[in-house]
Amino acid sequence: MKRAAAAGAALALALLVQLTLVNGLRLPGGGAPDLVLLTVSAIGLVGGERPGLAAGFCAGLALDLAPPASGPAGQWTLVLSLAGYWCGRMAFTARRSSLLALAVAAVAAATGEAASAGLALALGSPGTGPAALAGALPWSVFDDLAVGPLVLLAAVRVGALLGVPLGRDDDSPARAPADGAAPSGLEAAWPAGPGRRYGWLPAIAAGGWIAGGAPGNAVRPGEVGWLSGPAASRRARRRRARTAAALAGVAPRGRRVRVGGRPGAGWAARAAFAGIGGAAGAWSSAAAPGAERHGPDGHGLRGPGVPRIAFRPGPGGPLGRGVTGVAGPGGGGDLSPRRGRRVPRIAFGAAATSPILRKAGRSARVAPGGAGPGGRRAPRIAFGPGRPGSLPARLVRRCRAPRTGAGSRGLAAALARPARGIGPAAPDLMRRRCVPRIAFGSGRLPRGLRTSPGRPAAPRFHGTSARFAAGPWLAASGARAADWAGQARGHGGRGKQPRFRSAAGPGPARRGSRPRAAVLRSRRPRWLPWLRRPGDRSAVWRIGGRRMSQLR
Amino acid sequence: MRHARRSRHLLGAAIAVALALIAMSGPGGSSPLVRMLREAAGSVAGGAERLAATVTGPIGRFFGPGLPGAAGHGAAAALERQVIRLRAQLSAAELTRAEYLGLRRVLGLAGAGGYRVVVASVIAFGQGGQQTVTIDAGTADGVRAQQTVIDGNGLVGQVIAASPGTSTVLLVSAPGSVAGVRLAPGGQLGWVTGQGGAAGGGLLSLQVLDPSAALAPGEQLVTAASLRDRPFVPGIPVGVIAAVRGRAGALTARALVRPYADLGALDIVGVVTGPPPRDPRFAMLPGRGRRG
Repeated sequence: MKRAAAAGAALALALLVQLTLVNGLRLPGGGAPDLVLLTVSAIGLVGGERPGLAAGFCAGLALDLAPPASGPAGQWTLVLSLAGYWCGRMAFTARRSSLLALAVAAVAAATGEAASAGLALALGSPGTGPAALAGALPWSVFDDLAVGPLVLLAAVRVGALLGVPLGRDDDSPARAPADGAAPSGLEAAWPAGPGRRYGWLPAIAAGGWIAGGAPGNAVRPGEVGWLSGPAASRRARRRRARTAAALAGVAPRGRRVRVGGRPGAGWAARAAFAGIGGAAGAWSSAAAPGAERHGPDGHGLRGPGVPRIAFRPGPGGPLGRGVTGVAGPGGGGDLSPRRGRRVPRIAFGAAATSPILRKAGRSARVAPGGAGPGGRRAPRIAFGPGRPGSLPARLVRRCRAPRTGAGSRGLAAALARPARGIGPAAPDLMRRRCVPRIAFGSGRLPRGLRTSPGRPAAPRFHGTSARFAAGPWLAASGARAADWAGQARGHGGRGKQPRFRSAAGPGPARRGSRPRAAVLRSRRPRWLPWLRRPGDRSAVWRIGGRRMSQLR
Repeated sequence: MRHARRSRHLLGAAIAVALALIAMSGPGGSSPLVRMLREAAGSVAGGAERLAATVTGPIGRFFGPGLPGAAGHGAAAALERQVIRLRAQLSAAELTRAEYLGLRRVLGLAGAGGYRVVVASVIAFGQGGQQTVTIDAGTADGVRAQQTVIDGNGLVGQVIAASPGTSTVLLVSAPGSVAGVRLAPGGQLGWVTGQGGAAGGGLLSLQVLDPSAALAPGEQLVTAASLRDRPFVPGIPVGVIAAVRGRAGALTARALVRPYADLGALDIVGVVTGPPPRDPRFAMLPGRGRRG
């Protein structure tokens, strides 16, 4: 509300100053800076798509209808709406660097000027002519480029004062929940998280963002471009991994880095699990020296790292509340089922923020990095059937007691326990779902991947159901829990969502058939938002997809 | 993701509204719906612009003659800079005095021709190179659409829209503006068309119906009477011929006209609400029976 009021006030001010003062000035070449366009693009760059769109629409309407306007109405509405929306689309990208933000604003200004001039010509507005526009357009663009950074800086400062999250990772589209109506910015998702020490707020308040001095300049390790979809070919996967490694500052073919698989070319080399803001327990001491390179906000630690898996116990489950607190990736934190459903949650990233892992780590001293200083024990997870006998023998074999490696007994036991002591709420769940087993150390799991003799493979998920991956769509309601069996049969009522064709149904899976992600076509039009249910496809679903994760 | 998708739908809605507005506004924004919307917006935004102009007006007037380098070269530019420096030493009272001078000249010109005028000041300028301005007089003051607007030096334009408190003036320098003129000595008929204000050189394009008319730089122009004096009343000084662009074999004789009114630095203008009882002919031209 405060932000909307501030944006409206800024727009009104820009409009009045533009109409009463700036347009009357005699500047060289006959052009004039377009303060309204610059303000709209700055609002878009600071606020995002919707604020940019709303600002552009309102300002355009005002320019089209306010007194000095003549000729056809609607041209400014069109141009400014598009400019605001586009700047909003680029908002997240522009946070990478201040130069990028300035470039986006400049491009928006130049394109907006040209588009409005062209539109005025095409519509035959009596107040403008081709010769005048052609003469004044370059000068107007020049003026815009000169004034644009000032407007943007003012917008960023005001936005920071009003608490707009402007960090590099806030409001990331990667962290938007699948069914959420609002982006899960840090402010929303993590109001008072442990060890919250963000350096960006004072930095931005001091104008550091625009000057490039924000602490978020370090490159975040992780797979680049994974939002654009799964890499279809091995070459594409390799290219992505190489880019990620290059961005993360690690050598792509270094000794301790393996490039080629899905994300995380950086994590093995870093092994920096200092926890966010140093809030970690046991692993803080085991942090690699390179941890500081991630910046004080610890954003680098939220990249895809070692997955952590935890089961939330049912009401009255054997594990306490502390078990439920596994943070999602980067504190997005919405992976936890709200009810007592036993779905594993898998989180990549800053492991040490998790209470359960911290607890377990204290007792077991498990370092979850593949090459971390604490050991090379990457957890590997396999899912097996909960009740032996209801699934093929191959899976049953995997479903024995957790294979615990050296020193990891505490965690493995803690994680395995809820599967045993399942609550009374979901007996049939027990029948169908697999029990994950987590092994640390060098012990091999069946079909586990080993990438080198000394280093175990990254975890691999053997899914027998589509629902072992994380995501808010796992946050089940009771009704959906009751509907679990129906959904597992795949009646197609859930829209596009990956379903694993084989071994997912209640019936016996064929031996040797591998689950494969498929997208069910739904007849329901997807763009009707109220027809969508939580559970439609999100960016997270690919974690469980085989196509994406041949190698992890 | 739903968030992004919803934003796209909102964008689609915004574009649809804009296109609908464009489609409905008709040729030149003449549809009654757009006129009604503009009138409503004028009564709201006009008041805000009036308030804002009280703040920004002195600033704009301060830069009135233009920034250094805006026009002129050499000695003229040096003189201009000096004028600007001198203006910087003016106090607010002096600015008010300049306003008063403009007012006196408008009234003097109107009195010379016997017009009834409503004096107003310019409060807003058109966006995106549009040659339109807003003045702070509206229908409450008797201003109607298609009335002539003058300033202390000559013709400024015509009123194209009027709301209760403000009205919009289309300048003669707008490319869509056409004003009938008569040449001072001989009375040949012609018309001037705008070329886009300062970006178009600040000149108007003159075409005289008589192809054999001998145009010469320095000839003066006044408005010719429009039908029922709308939009232009007769006898208003328009400008002086700056260059002749004659083309052999053309149907009309062409020339470029420098307007008397400084259309880039308008301040005090007058809207002619009552035409003169008789055509003043060339009586209002500077140096012809009127004290400049």
